[in-house]
Amino acid sequence: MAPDSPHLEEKMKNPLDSLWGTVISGLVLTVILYFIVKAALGS
Amino acid sequence: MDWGDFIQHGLMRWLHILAGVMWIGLLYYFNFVQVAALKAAQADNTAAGITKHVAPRALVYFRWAALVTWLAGAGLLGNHFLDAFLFQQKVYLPIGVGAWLGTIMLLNVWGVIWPNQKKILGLVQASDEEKAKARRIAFLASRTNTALTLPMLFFMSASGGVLRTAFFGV
Repeated sequence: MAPDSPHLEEKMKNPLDSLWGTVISGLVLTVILYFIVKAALGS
Repeated sequence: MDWGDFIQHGLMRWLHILAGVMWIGLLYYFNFVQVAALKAAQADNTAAGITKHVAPRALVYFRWAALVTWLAGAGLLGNHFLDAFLFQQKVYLPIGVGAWLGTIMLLNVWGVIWPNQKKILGLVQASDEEKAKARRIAFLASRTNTALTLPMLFFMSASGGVLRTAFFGV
């Protein structure tokens, strides 16, 4: 399927368009950053 | 009493929290309340009440509270400003991440959200097409900041005392 296919565009949604998507994005980023910092601290 | 210490660790911390509550409180108001309220208000032609009277006032406190929060945070870091921002000491790593996230959010407020809001509110000249584009950009920047508040507040609150030890072991 071509990347600019309207069919694909229909399926791809920006998570920031919904409040839940925004909150979940923030939570995921928190977990990722937490493990990065924890690894950097060697703890 | 050490007045320098009192100002840096007492007053600056207090001001950082006060201004931070106003900044993030208004950010949450925009994202959790006003976006949905505007949609409903546009449907019954009462949106002007929000766009003319509420939003411009809220934006004044929002952007200045953001700046005061950052300045007070920088004052609170004091001599350890570079330790945090350049991750120079392990113990400053968690607050460094929080400080960077807060800095990105501040730049987002003054560099992206506010210039676009000026077009939306008619404070600067913009065509209908430019206004529509500005609305989308401001919305996504505001939502980005809302998402960033989660890790930012986590790293801010877990950067000292027992919470830092509990989460990071340092």
